Amino acid sequence: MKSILRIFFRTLVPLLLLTLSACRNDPEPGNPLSDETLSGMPLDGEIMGFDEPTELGERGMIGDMQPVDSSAYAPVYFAFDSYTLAPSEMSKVREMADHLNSQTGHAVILEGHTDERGSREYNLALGERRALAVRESLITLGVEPDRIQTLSYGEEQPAVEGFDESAWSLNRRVEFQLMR
Amino acid sequence: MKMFRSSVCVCLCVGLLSIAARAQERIVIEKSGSSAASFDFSGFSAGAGEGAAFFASLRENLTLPTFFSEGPPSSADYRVVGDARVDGGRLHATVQVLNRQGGGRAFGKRYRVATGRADDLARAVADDVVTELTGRPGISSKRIAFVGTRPGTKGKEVYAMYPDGKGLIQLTRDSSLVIAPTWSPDGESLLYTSYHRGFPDVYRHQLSPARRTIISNSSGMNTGGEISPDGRHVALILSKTGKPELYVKDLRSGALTRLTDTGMSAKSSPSWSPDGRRIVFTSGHQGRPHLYVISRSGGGMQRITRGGGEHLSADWGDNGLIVFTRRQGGVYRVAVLNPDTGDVGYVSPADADFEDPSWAPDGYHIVASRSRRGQSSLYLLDREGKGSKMILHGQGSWYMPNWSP
Repeated sequence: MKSILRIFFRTLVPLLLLTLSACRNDPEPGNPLSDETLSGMPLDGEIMGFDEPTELGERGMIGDMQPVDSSAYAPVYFAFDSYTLAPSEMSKVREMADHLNSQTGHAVILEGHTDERGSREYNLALGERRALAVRESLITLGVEPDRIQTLSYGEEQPAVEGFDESAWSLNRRVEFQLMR
Repeated sequence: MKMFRSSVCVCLCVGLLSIAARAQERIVIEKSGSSAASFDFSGFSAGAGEGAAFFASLRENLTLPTFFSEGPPSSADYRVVGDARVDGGRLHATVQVLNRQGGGRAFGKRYRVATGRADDLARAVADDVVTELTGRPGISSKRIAFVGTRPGTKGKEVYAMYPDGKGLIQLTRDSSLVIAPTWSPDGESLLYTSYHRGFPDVYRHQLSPARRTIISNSSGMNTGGEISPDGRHVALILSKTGKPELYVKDLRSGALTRLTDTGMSAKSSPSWSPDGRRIVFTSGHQGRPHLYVISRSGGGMQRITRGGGEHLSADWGDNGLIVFTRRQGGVYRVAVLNPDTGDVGYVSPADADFEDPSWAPDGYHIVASRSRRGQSSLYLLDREGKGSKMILHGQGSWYMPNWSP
């Protein structure tokens, strides 16, 4: 037994240590990281003109029109997370309907807005829902649908900066933008 | 006889020792990522210039995952050794990762690349090391796209950057509003909603060469653009019929299929399941915004979230889990939902609003925005809620991140 152990310690252990240390000194080559495979995607630094089609899609005539001063028409305001038109706000919608029914050369863009709570994407849709609610009311009051476009900005264009209800209540709105 | 017995014994001993030696070579991090590991970098030898730049970037990227950190030589789990130097117009790097206990080698590779690519190489090496140690892909080499607004400039633009904060590049110059960039499955294009032609329309922005085309510009609102895993369809939220509904558009034929008909309600953020058969989205048609899942042909709509609050901005990962934003107790938090079991858990700290999460390519990490008082930064989280690291902050407000596949 003793002789076996002697052979072991004198030859094999040094041999093992030698093998182990030899393994450590020889890293294998890495992935063939040629200049092509490294994913440094060459992004254009200067994004200037794009070759976009000129069609206007379904928005048709509105795209050709110019804005008209609409400051006489106050925005319609909404409760939190709501797109219901309160009775107190309906008079503003009626005034706009009266204007459009008498000025038949005008169209209107209804700009929908929200306060900054909620996600940006959901607020885009909520602002759109508010604009659509006003659009429905205008149609009920006799305005032709193709003279009314909706344009939601979601939370992106607040009327008032701030983080409390006094600011939020002024941002939940639909603004009228007349076009001619 | 004596020689035979001793030689058998010797063979056995050698066999056992080499098995023991091999088992010592790597500490495997469990796939759950529950055991963090630390690296000691003091033994690495970097030349001046690009060698040093490579090393600094490697150090940054290797400690980017929430389960890795830097540690002192006395207690770090691994020692990172090797060298990086420029020679003959090329950057040469040898990187080895050794166990502090026992000194066995867990990783060892050498690399050679053209000069000027130190950061790219460091990211690739960090990913190699992460994969070797954890069995999971690395997160360093895939870009994050997001929206940013900078002081003194008008409007918002789309940006992209590596998760280590480097390579920040501005991709649009529209001085307009832009929302929700998402990567195409091939990683070559971004879809986003842009107002630069006056109305919210969805565009496809190919990155190289730069080219932008209209995906949807119907009347009303066009938003939520996300391309299906097979690259052939795009999910959209359109209000063209007078109410916002979920649609799927065939990118080749232009054919439009409406999936929902829930009446007047706000909808947002569609995201495809990994097999492309279903879509998760937010809808408010039952009152508060909740997450719903629907088949791509429009049948079988089911609500998958419960309770009060808001459930927004879902991203369905290749891992089968849905990460989303939930408003709870007045604060927006990132949550992870298993749509098969219904289990939900929060993974972001409760001290600020964390929103708009997106899965990293490893299915473990998550990028999200963190906001306080109108200022937004980009943060790295993970699906177990074990870590949060700031990856872009300052010189502007950064939000709506989306991680390249």
